[in-house]
Amino acid sequence: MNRAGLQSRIALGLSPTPRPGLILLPVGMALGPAGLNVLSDTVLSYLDPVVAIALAALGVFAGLDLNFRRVRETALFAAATVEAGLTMVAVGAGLWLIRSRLDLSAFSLWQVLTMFAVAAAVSSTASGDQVDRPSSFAARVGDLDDVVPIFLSGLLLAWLHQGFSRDALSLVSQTTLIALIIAAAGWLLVGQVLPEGEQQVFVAGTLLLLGGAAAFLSMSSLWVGLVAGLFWGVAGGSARDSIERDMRYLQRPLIVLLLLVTGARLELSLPALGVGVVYVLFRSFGKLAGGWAAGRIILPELPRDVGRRLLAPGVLAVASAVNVLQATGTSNTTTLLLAVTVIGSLGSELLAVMVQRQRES
Amino acid sequence: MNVLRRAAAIGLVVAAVFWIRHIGSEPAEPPSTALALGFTLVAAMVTGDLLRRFHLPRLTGYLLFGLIFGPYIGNVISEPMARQLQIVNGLATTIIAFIAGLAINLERLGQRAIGIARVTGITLSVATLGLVAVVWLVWPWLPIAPEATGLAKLTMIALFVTIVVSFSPTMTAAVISETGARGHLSEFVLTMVVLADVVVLVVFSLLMQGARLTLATESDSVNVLVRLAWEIVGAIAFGSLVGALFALYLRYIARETTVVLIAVCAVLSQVGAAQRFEPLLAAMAAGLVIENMAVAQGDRLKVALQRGALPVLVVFFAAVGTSLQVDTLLTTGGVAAGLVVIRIGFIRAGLNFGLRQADIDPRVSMYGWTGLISQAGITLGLASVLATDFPTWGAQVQSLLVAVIALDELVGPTIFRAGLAWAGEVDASAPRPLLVVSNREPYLHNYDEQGAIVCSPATGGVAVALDALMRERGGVWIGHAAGTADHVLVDAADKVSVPPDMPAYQLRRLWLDPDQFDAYYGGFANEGLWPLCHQVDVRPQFRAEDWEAYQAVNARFAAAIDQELPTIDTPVFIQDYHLALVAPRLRERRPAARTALFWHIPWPYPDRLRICPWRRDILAGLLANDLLAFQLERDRRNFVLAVEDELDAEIEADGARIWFDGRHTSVTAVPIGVDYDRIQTVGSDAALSAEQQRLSQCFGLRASVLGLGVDRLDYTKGIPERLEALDRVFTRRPDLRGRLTFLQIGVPSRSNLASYNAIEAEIDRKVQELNARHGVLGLAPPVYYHKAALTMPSLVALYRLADFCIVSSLHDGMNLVAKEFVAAREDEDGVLVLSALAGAAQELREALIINPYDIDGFTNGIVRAVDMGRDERRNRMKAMRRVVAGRNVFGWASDILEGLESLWTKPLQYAARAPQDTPV
Repeated sequence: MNRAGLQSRIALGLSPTPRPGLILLPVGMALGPAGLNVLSDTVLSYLDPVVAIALAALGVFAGLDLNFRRVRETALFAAATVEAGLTMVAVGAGLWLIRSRLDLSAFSLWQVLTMFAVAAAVSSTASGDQVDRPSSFAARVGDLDDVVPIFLSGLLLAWLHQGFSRDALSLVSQTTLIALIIAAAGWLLVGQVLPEGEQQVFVAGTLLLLGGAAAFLSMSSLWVGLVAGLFWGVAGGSARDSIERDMRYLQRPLIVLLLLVTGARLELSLPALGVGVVYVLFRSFGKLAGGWAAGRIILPELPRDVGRRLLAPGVLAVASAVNVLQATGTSNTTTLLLAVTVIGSLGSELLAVMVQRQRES
Repeated sequence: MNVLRRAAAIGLVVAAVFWIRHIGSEPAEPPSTALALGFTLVAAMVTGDLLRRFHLPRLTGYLLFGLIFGPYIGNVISEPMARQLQIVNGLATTIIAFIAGLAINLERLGQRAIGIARVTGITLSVATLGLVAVVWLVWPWLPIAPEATGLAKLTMIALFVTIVVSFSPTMTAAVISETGARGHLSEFVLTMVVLADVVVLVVFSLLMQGARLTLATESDSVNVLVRLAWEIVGAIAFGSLVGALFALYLRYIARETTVVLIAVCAVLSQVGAAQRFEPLLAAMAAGLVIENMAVAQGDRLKVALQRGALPVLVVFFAAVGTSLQVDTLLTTGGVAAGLVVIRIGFIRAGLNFGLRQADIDPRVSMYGWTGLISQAGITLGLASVLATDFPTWGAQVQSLLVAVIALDELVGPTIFRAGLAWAGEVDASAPRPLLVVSNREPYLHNYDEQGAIVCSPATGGVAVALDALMRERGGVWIGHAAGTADHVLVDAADKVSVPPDMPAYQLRRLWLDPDQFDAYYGGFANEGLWPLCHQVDVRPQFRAEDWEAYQAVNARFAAAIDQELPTIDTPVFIQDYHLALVAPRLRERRPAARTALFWHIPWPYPDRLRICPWRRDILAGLLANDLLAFQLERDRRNFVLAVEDELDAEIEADGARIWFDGRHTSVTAVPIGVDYDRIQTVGSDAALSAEQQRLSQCFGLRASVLGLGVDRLDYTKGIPERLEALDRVFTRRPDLRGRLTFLQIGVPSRSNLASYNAIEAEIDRKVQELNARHGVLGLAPPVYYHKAALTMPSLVALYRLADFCIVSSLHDGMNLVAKEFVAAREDEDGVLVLSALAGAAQELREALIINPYDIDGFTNGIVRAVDMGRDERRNRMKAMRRVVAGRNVFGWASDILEGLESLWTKPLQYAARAPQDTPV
């Protein structure tokens, strides 16, 4: 990944930094309705479209980043998938053990486990420090392990709305086609030679359409964004570069707002803290095991400590929970999901920083 | 092709939205907001652009989009979606008021504003009173609220008329910019619409407060006036506070400006409203404070406005379109047309009456009204506020005004274009005269040996560039008469038309007493300021009598400018350190004159400047200019430091503007270039090789390696150091004796001064010693010294012959020889050995940079130049040529002039045109 790409990943919270973006979550809590009420319910409702765009933007970045024409990309993607898959299984299993503490009034146990597992699977890496080939492979695995969870988030939401049925598949397919149509329209508009301001308006408008489409259909904004990102990546041309550049300009304020809004919506509780601890433990175990297995089965060049490098979840885990919350509305389960994901993300981030410092020393 | 792509994109987006609405159920409001915003943003932008191609305003496109795709016709945007679009209303109207505030630059409006404000006040008063009377009479037939009577009716009419008389600064600025109009009419109209809209905003805000009390249920309070005062004064105070904080943010942090700008507008809109502060007034106050506190950050704010305001305003205008009902529009069409005609009539009458009270150009009286027809965003914004606060009759007013705006938008720009043409302000060939002042005149008339008068043009790059500008723009050049026959050809006003072959401008010759000239030029300028500003071992000499002469001569130049200045807005371009006190003397006679001074030589560090007993007078004198330009950022910085040390001046954080003695001076660095194209032309002339042969024979250039130095014989040029380094080269590399000749062209200069005499003698002696030491009988001499000036073709011929060129200044503002050498090397060969102490070294980083005080290093540099391979020579020269080609002397001159002119036009144009494509 080039330097600009790296910077954007750090800005997006997709790479761990000594001051992770997740620090904005407590700030959001302080400003939210339960705190100073600067971000009142009315203000939060105004900011809902921004959350939808931010989620779509994260999906777009993941899509743009996937490029099978790169050397070893297929193997790396397979390794990332194995690693993410094992993490999901580990978190699912861990939560299954404490299933009595989960609220199952609105959804089935399997649906709830999938929600948590999908959010837990993503990770971020300190991509900037990679000087040797194994380390850069590890970083790339961290970059790519969000693709499958985002794809699953699309299926999960259709499953939540339509049950395990043909209608669910139809909804996912139609959403995907709509995302492709919007992406194509954006590509046609941005591909022209335009004044900078006008081009940015088209990029922002396209993102709004993507996020808006997902919100209207109560589907995954991340998935819709991923599809659009993949389309632009494949279509290429100057439009792709313009979109990536303009999104880089938009990303920081979007992510800041996403985290502030998430923080403001957060309802922490003791049960959430308990589930959060289990979540961190099993997620960490899943990452370590997943990293080890990916190295053994798919890509022997991966460093032995790849799992330890993938402990940090970045913003995407929280985004994944917000994605579910937005699409299904507020319920005890989604409130718990958000709280656990935030606690788990902050805990995992802390763990990742400690591990990184230990490695450096 | 672009149209097809856009049409296809819109087709896809419409299909996607239909599909989404088909498969999804219309959700509760928030989830569909993003979809509505996204669709509106993309599709309205494209529609606006498509209409632009048919020479129709974009704003009409946005409105049309809303109307066609909105719930009443196309229903792609459903009614709930249309409702959700209204969330941007508060933000958009705040942005509009904010932009109006940004248009008021108090300093630049300055004295003009008083006269124009009077005209504006009278025009608005006449138009408002006339319209109120007419609307009162026809009220029962207007589709607003015919049943209203008494105070309610009067309040409604007052609000309605206030909106009707508003203008569009952006449309006005757009027409002026598009036509390239310059002159009193365009300047007057732009200033007037900006001022008028500020007045309209304030009056509207006051009336709205009154209306809320009169028309709503809140009139029972005994503290009405107290609350009104709180809301108005509080709004201004709150807006000023937010503006001041934002200005500080722009000055000291300036990151994520667009986001912060939107946040500021949101704060003004939401928090202000929550505290019952009038958001429009607060936003305008904020804009005004920022414009007048943080002008230096204006460009950054402009970019932020383009990014942030455009999408919000596009959605806002489209949202207004979605709220329009076709049947209402059809019924109001006729009324709107009548209103447009009556509005123009009263505005014209008011303007004529107002102009009679002020001393304004007659062309403004005749055509001023043509610029006061356009209406756009401000009108729409105010109408929207009315519709939000008073949904019944306010919505009716909005519908009627949309029709009025559509008509005014269609006819306004066309009539204004015609008005500007009638006033002769759009004619590209119309004169935009310029006044140049320099010590040296551009054309000298001398007697030759036969007693005939010969005209010699000045050959320096600066003189050639300014001469070219004067040929194009016309005007007057004031210079000291130095030719022996100068007095013969001038008219009674001491003027002569130049150039002699094709007169394009007037040269005003100034006769100076020889003793006074010696003291001013030879004494203070060249024995005082010159060594003061150059770090060399020559003591500056400051004598009181020289200083007096310098002051007197500068005052003479100022008096001549006063006589020759055709209009107060004619730019005055003052050249160099000889004329540092011209601006203050001129300002005593013409306080509003617009002057720029270019300081060609370096500016010393404050410690060295303290040598000069009259440094404060010089600093203050330079600060009497509107624009002060230096060669390098280093010089600009030194000047700002000196001002900080010596004067009680206020300096902006980035040092770009200085506030002193009641006025601002912009201080900038504009490095000078060479006449690149002319050098290319000379270089590609077929006569070049013949000239090279002639010079080779003339100078006996038979060595295989040729080095070249071209300098005025000045102690700052480092010629003795160069000769010392060459001496060491020949000592270290005896194989170069007879193989390498260094040709030194020395142009005698200021030879009547002792310091210059001494340096000439030293160079003569060193050349003789070097040739005696290293010369080989029968072979080429180590140094050939030619002590005379050469023409440009001869210089280009030598530049092309040379294998390397040395510029070894001990301190130099720029040094154009370095750039000329590079410009002449079309063959991409040759090496430039350049002193790190010459300003050119800041730009020509691919030269072999040497330090003339480090003779060993200098020697190594020359040896490296001799031995350098072809590839390296080519790569270095290519890189340097890119730099030199990119900044020629004409660009330098026009940069300074445009910088000067934009000090007046920019604040208004930039603020009014901030969201360029979104008429406000």
